Amino acid sequence: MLFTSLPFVVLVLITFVIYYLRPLRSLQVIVLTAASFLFYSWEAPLLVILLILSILINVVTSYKIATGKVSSQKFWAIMGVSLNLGLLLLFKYGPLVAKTLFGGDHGSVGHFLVTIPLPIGISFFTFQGISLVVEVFRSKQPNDPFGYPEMVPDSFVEHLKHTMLFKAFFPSLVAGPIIKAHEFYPQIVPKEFSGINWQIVFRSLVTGYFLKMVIADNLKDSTFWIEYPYFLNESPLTLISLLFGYSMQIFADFAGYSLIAIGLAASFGYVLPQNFNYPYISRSFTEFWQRWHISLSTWLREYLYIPLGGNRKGNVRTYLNLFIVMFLGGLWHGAAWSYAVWGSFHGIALALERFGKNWIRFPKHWLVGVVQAVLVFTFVTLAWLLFKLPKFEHVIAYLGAMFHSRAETKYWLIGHVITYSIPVLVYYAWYLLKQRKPGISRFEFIVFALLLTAIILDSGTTGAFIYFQF
Amino acid sequence: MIKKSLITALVLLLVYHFALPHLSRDYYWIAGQQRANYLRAQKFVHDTPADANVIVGSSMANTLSDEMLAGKYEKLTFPAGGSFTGLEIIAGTNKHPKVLWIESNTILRDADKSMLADVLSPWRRKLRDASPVFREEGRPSNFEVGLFNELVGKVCHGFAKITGAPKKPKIAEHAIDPDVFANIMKVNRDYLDRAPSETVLASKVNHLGELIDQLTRTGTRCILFEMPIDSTLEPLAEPSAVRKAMEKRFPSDKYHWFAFDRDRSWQTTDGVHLVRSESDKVTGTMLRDADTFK
Repeated sequence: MLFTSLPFVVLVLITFVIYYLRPLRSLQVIVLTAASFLFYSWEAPLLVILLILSILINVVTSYKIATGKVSSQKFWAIMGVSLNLGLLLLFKYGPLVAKTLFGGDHGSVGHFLVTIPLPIGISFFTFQGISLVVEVFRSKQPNDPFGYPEMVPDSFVEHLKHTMLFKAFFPSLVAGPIIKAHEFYPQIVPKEFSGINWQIVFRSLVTGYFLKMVIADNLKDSTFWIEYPYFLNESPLTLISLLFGYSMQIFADFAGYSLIAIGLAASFGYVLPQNFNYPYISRSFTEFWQRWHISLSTWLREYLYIPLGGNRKGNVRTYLNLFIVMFLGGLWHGAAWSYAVWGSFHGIALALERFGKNWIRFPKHWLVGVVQAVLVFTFVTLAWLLFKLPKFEHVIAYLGAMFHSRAETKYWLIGHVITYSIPVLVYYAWYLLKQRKPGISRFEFIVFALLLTAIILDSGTTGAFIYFQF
Repeated sequence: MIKKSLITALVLLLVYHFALPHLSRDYYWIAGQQRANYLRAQKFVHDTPADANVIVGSSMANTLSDEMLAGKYEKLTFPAGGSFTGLEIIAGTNKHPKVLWIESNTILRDADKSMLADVLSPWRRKLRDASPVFREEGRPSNFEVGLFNELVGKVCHGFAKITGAPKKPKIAEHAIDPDVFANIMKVNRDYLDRAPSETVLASKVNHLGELIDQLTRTGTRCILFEMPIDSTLEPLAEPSAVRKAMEKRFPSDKYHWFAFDRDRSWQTTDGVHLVRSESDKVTGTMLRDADTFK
């Protein structure tokens, strides 16, 4: 079910009304969980079985860690993480491995496995499950350095209810933000209608729907032409514009989705973590990953980079850890070498940057900052090509055509990209302006009125969210 | 803030509603195939008389000359779509064209459900009847794209003048880069050389039959036709299977069929879309022979 579809709006409205009915207040968790299951099963009901299986794995293992013998805690933690990863590997990478091992001919095992669709959101809810198991385990260690709150109640049924909501919570179920257990469980308390923060709901929903429906859904009609072999028939200038447009589109699509998720969660009294913090103004790759898909990068940092040793084991090990984390982060997006190359590209960039920091000191001038931001944006944008074109040879062909194509420039296509990229630039400019002149916020109502008007008058045709495929 | 935003948005909508008819169309551009498809569908739903002659099809039939068809036929031809989208729109609006040409090449393609939901939605139709700002043609971005289209063009030409870059010779419409043409042909060949599922094909042909029979009963003269494509692609698995299934379900002694000369080699831009001069010839032939089907 898409956030932009009519059935979704109806589902949210009905759930909202039932959720806040005073006589049903004690059933809020169940109401929200039921709505989440309906949301998830709308397109493919059978996938719910997988979600339930994933929930059961996490409920049982985390409960065993919390209530079982101290000597068995590690066993259950390893079991929980392994089963979570196993499920992810089976569905996400199994088809590729099976195809490689058994071939993809009709009737073969490889072909059967390849035909199994990738369960939507599996990468997101699996990572949340791992966070539950790891955090419960950490919280049970003597002198827990993380200071996690108590997440597992004594009653198994109660824990089951809470975990079902944690894993299936519909605003973040299929494309994040990835919530960590310690951020979510303490929030599972009865909610009051009067407690809704309408400012957050309104701002997040309007900005999110604007980014998705007006920017991303319109830009997708232009960036469609970044498709083999059609891009070969475009001029260098058109190709550069299209790539720029895709960079804007992927930001608007994913940041838009995250904002809608945050707004929806807020309407039910839950706070989701910020997932995007104006990433395209980053002056370094390190900063970029502190601003882009924040919930994934913090997850990778907490559950992969730090356990690998982080930066505590010398320079060379730090570079290697950065590379490993980004390489695996790339593969998290899908079972294709282009994702691994994309992750490696960012891993190498982060390692080089860390290496360079020890040797080079840039002057603190605003112009240097602008040049750095432009460079980071350019490299990040070039790397998005690996997302858009899954075959590596097509990426090379695209880059080649950017220099050698003899085709005529399509001005209208560039005009289209500019039209829908300008609002993203304004979105960033407004943020920077607000930081320098906070007083300008009193005119924000005009900005939101314009966004609302644009949603009504200029939404594109509905397209699936890009991050659904991950 | 929320209340102020909502009121301001309402005011902006009203202002745009009254300003739109007076806005200059000097810089105006409907950008992209998807937009053009929606515009075409909305124009048909809202503005086309119920008994107008219609051509339904995909991007192949979309190459038929607009100038030559003007005033005689409405095109419900959708790039990236197929005949079913047009047929479902006709059925959904309860219109009964006098003459209906149906392209048979792409009947394996489903109707565009999201477009149908959009253009046939009762409340959207009411809104679009009430104000053109809710139509594709009323999008504010059409003016922006038109402006940028002009600006980018001028900047590029100016830049070329300053740098003294030689003006590219005007190329013939079908003379695309030979390497690109070869690549596109290969993709089309691979795509068209896959035999379709017999069950799927049978269900599509049967559904088409139901729609045609229903329209014929209400007085529409339906004429089936296959748009010419590159002669090397024509005998491939998919076009052959579709042709065979269509001829079986719609025998020429019971249904109107319009056949183009298959022996000649048609010039295309990419193997499946005719170049302008060829599509003009096809359009001319269709217009000339339309009356022979009674």
